[in-house]
Amino acid sequence: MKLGRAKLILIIAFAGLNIFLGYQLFWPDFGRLTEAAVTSEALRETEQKLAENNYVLEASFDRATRTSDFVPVSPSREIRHELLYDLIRTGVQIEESDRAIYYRADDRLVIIHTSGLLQVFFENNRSSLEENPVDLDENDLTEQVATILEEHHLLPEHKRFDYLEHKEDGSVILYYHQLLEDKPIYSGQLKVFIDAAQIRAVEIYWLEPGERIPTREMEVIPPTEALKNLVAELGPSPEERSIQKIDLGYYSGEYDAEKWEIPPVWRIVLDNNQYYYINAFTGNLEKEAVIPEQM
Amino acid sequence: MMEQLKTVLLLCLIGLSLFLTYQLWYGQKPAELVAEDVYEQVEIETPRSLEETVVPYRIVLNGGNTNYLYSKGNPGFDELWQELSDLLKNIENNFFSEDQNGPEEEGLRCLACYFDPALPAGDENLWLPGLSTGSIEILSLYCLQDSYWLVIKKADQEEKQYLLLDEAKAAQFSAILENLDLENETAYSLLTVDLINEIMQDDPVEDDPIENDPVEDDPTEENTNEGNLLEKEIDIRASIYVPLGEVFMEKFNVEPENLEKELLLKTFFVDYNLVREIEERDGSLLYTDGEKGLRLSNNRFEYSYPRLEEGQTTVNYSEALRKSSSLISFHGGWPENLRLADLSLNSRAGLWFYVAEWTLYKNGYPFLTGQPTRASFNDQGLFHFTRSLYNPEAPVENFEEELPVSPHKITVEVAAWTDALLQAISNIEDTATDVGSRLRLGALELAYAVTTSEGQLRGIPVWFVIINGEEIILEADTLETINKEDLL
Repeated sequence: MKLGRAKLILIIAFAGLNIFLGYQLFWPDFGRLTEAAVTSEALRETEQKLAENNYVLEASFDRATRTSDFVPVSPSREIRHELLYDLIRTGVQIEESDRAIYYRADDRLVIIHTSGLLQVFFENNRSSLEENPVDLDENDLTEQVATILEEHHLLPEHKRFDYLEHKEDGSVILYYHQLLEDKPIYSGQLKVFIDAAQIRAVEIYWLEPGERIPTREMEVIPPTEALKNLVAELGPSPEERSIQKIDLGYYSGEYDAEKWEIPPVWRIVLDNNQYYYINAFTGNLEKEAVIPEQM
Repeated sequence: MMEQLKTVLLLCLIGLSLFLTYQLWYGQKPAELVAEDVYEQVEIETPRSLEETVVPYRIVLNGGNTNYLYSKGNPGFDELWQELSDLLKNIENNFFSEDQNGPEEEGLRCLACYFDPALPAGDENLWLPGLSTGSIEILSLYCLQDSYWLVIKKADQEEKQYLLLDEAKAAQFSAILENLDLENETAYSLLTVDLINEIMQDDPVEDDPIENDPVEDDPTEENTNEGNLLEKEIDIRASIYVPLGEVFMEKFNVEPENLEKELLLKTFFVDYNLVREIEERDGSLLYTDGEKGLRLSNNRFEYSYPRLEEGQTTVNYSEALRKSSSLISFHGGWPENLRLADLSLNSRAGLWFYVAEWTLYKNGYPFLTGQPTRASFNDQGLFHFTRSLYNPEAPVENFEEELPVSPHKITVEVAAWTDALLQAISNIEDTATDVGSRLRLGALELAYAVTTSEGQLRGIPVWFVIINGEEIILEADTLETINKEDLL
């Protein structure tokens, strides 16, 4: 009878042990996902550090643990093909230099750089908006711009309007960025230059995502660490600066290369007009690539 | 029945707990944890000892009226240096003096070791431990009838130091020299102005056109060369040895050394998972983690870590030698017949750093390549590294030339040093605006140049000449000029 009770106790103990081991083995993400990457204490500490350097955190962010990976990319040729087909159909004069090819049509000049950058300069009124951009709200403006760009085969898929920049001379620049599964690729950018209710130029640097390697998915640094790193990099500010947005996406400098990988970044927006990219794996500020050059 | 069921269930649970524990301990980690576990151990080549790091660039043996040269890659060189090194390590009772009455006569010098980089000697160093600390550039042995003298010339010191060896040490040196078989070795002579004048007068070029001389079809230019050489004064700025008689060298195919890419990446990037790859348009691969960059191309690699350039240097010369050995062993390894050819302390914008450079040898001749194998480092670590090494054992298959001596090499007869010197002077006069009446000769030696022909990498025998600081590379058999830009 005593042996039977002992067996029962052991069965319960081992069953409990197996549940614990199974949890650790098969659901490691469960504990990690519910765990907050940014604790209240870490947030307070970050805010204090920012305040000491004259920065104010106004942005809100997701405090859960996040993961990301490298995205292999190459310059996209999709837009270029559609545009060139349209140009050749209507007649175009072609000139070539070391770094670019120039396509001159009656109503526009198209420059395709070897790096993949595409520039279009409009030379007549075929790209006029209905009203001056300052008189339009953001939605109407982006809608009208999208219609014109589509008409000229200049509207890539998987894009998101990012922000608007008003210049001192009254002109306006619209910025769009590329999307990959709802995550922004900040390197893939569409810029629309508007002046006097006309689209004067369009710049497109679009990327073709390659095959991703699932095993390279890793946990990224929390946004608080990215903020601290940025402040360490920029140093104390003489005037109060406002941190208005912090988002996770992908970014790297432009490479004149065949194919490359872009890392995940925390994009931090200061005072609504300055953009910084902190590598979400290393915590370093993303600058120009380190290209070894002969000494 | 119930008890049996409990027993079975308990055993199953125990077995399952053991299996789960094993899986948890040794099983595959989830992807999210990979970044935390990247500091894996990398197995690399063991750094070389100091005596393998510093070897003479040339050992000269005096055999009567002629000299015999031993350099890295010559059969027996490593053994000879090992024996000499062991002997030098055991000379403890040093009473070196700067007595001006020491032996000086060239004919009595039976052995000379030339070091570049210099040999660290004296207190706290391996060699000549009783000597005051310093770096030796030339170490000579003078064999007199009744005594042996060791004479050293330190770097940055004009005065030589002399040591009369005791009988035991003298006998050991004597034994080393007697064991060398010099019968089949090429004889050399120390180049002097007198020798140049003597050869030019004995062997007038216009009466005996030189075989394979590229300028022989143009007698005007040939005469100009000869006239200029005889008219101009030659100032010999280094210990140059020229071969007496015929020299044969091999032409052979080479291939870039085969380095394991993944291992190489791990040696440069501690956190290998954070490195991203960029494929450049020329096919080169660039790896960067945002702070460091490594570019791999077909024949070479180049690494840069700009942030470390800000560091200072406090390590001494001996430590720097050890560090350089570790660096090359760690980043790609130290192949056979590679020699540390230079180690210098440099400064830029007030920051001091060491630059180490290595040269590959074959049969005692150095390889000339387009990109050096060179490391720049300071206390912070390695901040720039280029490596371009070749395997000279690739079989010859594509050579157009006929008459291969063996399936793996083609042997050519090297043009005489006088012809090479004349051709080099002609080249200098063609390119330089004002050569001046006095030519400073810095080098005149045989080497191998790595070039390409129809997509095949080749090792070509060359004469390497430095006149007035200008480097000239001439194909050793035809004396055709090879542009430095064409070196790989």
